[in-house]
Amino acid sequence: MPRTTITLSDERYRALKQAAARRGLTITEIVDQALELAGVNTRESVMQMLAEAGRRSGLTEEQAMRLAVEETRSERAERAAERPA
Amino acid sequence: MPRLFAVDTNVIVGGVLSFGRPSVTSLVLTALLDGRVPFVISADLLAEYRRVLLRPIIVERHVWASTDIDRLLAELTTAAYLRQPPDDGAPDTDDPPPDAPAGDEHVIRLLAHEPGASLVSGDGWLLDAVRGWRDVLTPAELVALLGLG
Repeated sequence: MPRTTITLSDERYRALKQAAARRGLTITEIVDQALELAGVNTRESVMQMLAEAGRRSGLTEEQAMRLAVEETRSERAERAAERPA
Repeated sequence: MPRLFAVDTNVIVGGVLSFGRPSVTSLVLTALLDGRVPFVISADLLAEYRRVLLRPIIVERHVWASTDIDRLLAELTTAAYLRQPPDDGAPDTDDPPPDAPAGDEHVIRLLAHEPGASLVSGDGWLLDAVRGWRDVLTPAELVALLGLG
């Protein structure tokens, strides 16, 4: 696993240590969670998530596309109906 | 500037639901994430990707939490060219937009703002409305055009 060095203000470093202690996590785990929340995902994790979704859906390509078109169309019709005339 | 594409919501959702199977929308979604298809997106279209992926019948299929959807959208946004078409700009009389089905206005606004972009959609109704005003492609045609298979 690669290691890296980051520079933080004294205040931020103290806050990081306190947050880790409060949550019973390591600093590495806190940083990892923060990166996840900031949308910094590993490409592999997103592809894995997609593969699981595709497997779970149980739909053929044709079924998936028909459902996607119908639901997009329904969403648009509902939004259009909500708009003031 | 490379040729740009505007990818309709149904292509993204179809790609999620058929990911990993032999599927053109799965190939398109992978290529979008890989940066192999230069595409434009607006805040309105991105918000619609999210809303449709959160519709109950779609959630039943992918079984994602909203945070999972946001992870995918963050990845897509990283790869996209962001555009901000005006909400209700006056139509360009030299390039009048078509009468599209109700609810498609955000797609039309994006295409009006980015006239060089080709629309990629699985919705025949919208493709028919836009054809002649802008270039349109089905997902299968995009796969063939860019050799994504």
